[in-house]
Amino acid sequence: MATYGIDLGTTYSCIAYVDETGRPVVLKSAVGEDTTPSVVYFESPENVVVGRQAKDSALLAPHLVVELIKRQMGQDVHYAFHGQDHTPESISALILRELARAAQEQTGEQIRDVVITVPAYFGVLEREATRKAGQIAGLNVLDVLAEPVAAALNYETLGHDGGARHIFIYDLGGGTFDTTVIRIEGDDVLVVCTDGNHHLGGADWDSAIISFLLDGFTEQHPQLDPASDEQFMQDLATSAEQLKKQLSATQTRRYNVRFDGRVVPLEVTREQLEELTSELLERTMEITERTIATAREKGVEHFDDVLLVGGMTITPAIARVLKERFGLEARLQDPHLAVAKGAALFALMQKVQEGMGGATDGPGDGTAGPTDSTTQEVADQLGISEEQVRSIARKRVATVVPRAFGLKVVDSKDPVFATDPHRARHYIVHLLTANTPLPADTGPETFRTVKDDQREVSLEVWEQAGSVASEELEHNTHIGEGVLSELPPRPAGAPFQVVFHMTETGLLKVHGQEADSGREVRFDIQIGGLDEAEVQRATSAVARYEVNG
Amino acid sequence: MTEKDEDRAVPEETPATAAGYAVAILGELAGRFDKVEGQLSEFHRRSAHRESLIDRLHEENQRLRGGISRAVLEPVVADLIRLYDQLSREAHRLGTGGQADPLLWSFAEDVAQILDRCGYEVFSAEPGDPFLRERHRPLAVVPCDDESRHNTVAEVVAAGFAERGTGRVRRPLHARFHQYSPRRDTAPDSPETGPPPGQAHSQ
Repeated sequence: MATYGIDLGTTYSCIAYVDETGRPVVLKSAVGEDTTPSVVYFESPENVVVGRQAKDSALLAPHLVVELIKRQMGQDVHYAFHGQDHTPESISALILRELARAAQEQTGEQIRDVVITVPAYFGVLEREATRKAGQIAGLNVLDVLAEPVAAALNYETLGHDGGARHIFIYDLGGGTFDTTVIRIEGDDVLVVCTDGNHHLGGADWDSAIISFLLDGFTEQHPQLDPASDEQFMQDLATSAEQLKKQLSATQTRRYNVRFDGRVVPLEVTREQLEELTSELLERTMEITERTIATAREKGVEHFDDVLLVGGMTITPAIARVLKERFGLEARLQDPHLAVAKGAALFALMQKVQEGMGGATDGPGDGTAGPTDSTTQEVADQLGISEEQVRSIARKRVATVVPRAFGLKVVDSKDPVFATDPHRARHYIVHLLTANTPLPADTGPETFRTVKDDQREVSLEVWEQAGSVASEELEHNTHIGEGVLSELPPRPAGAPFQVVFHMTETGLLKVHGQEADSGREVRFDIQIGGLDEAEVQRATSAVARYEVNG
Repeated sequence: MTEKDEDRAVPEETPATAAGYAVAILGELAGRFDKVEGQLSEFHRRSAHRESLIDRLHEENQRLRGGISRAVLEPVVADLIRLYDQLSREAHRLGTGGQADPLLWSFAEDVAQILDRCGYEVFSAEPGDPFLRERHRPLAVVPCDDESRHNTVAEVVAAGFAERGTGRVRRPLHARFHQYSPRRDTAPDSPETGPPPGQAHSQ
């Protein structure tokens, strides 16, 4: 029955499970830490190192070390190490393998069933790539879950009964910032909207503190150049992180900056720290404001809970400004590990739900449900009643279309169109908008041919690439196409219809039809870079490595 | 006679009705026993589960008691390591003839002893020692034209600290490492290279 939740992060990853007391517990890394740096070092053709040691090796073998691979998920990029081809999926699989290996050393049992978390802004492509990474690692991926939903699960916000509830999640991690609103109603959990800045995080706060300390020293000793000393800068980085944590609990700290026999004693106050980083905080508040406005457009006027996630949120200024600016009462609990723990709880739910498809020994009313033995086991594990377990098993976390999908069309208003439609401006008409709940169906949308006697139409499907939907081609990614052919000869402007249908698993079904002739084209786009054969090849390649942390 | 009294009224006994009544009573009793048995086994099952939990929690509690002092000392240890680094650095800076300044060095050694009492041993390395990813953190590379010195310690910048008993590295040793860069005129084949991090090629 053991199931695991994995927070596969940009800079750090973490694995958790629900222990026999019913509490989610984080399993330590190979070096005894709660989190593992998401860094992979291809030490030799047979050996791969993941984690802190891989990070430390980056300076000596930069061409064999990969960091921040999460940013490449879903993209068609390839790496070569010791002659072996790798993709973001296979490299992420190595991180997952190390997490599973270290976890197995502690629990003594094979890690198989997992839930992996992804940012709420991840498109279908990235989600599918994450799922495949799990598959390549030899894991059974029960589901891929949005990070804010996992955090909400850990805060037990899903256990409440009653009407619809809305949760605002402010997630400030090491390198990214995300805001998400989720709606919980009955047994359904839905991401209402999401926003963020994927290049803003705790590291920026640390940089501001480092600059402050460095400037404090060089102002007194302008003839010295401590910034060129690696050890001094390493010390300063460690101290900046400590100062940030200490000033979350106390008002003032003294710090002696020493270099080359000189010392500059600096008094750092919480107020000073907040002033130093006020511009960074303001950027998160602008995004928060935008998210609140988007949620309001979708009918969300009030938030029942505001959760702070990510290590940086221990800074008191965040909760204070959220209260002052927006009247939000934020809760802080286990911000570093909430996502992995929530994923572990969700994995357990998934396992219970899996039992729903199996044999039932209920009253025989024909309704499938978890077997009594499964229910009992989980009830014991979670320390809750069997009825509550059944209630959890009914819960459904709905996915939304994370980004807009549309068709490439020609702009008939472009003056060039009249003489040469091919050279006229092309742009994207989005049929499926972001945040539409899945499964989604657009219904028929009418388009027209561009020239006389046009016998075929190419239907090019594109996905929104940036954080905001834009009709410009450069802000979208081409993901597939089909051809509506053998159209009857008709004047330009003849109508035809296109329907987009996206399933819950991200399969986009496109249907184009010309009404008069009945000609039609149907094609499916399975979002996700690697096909089954490539996944098999990657699985074999990854399985050959000796992985350690 | 009240209705309740009527309820209590016993039908006239005949051998057949008495036997039937007895069978009914026995059936009811058997049913009740089954229920009690079921409840009892459920109670035992839950008790056994609780027992195993208590055993595990007790074991965990014992383990935590052992490690709690270490957890409490963690921030102090971090500060002591920083103090040791700076004292030894200043001792070497102020020293003469390749020897550390004796007074400052003695303070550094005292700090090392305090760390030792907290359960952490200092470890170092010699120039020429090979890079050990478990124990070393490279701070910089020093180019060299001798291939045999590739990825070996050029200069130790700060000592490392490991947990006594487990050997777990608390803070890796910081050092500069030799990196072989062949001279152009004598360069053999290029060393194997892949794409630099973050600069993958697209297919």
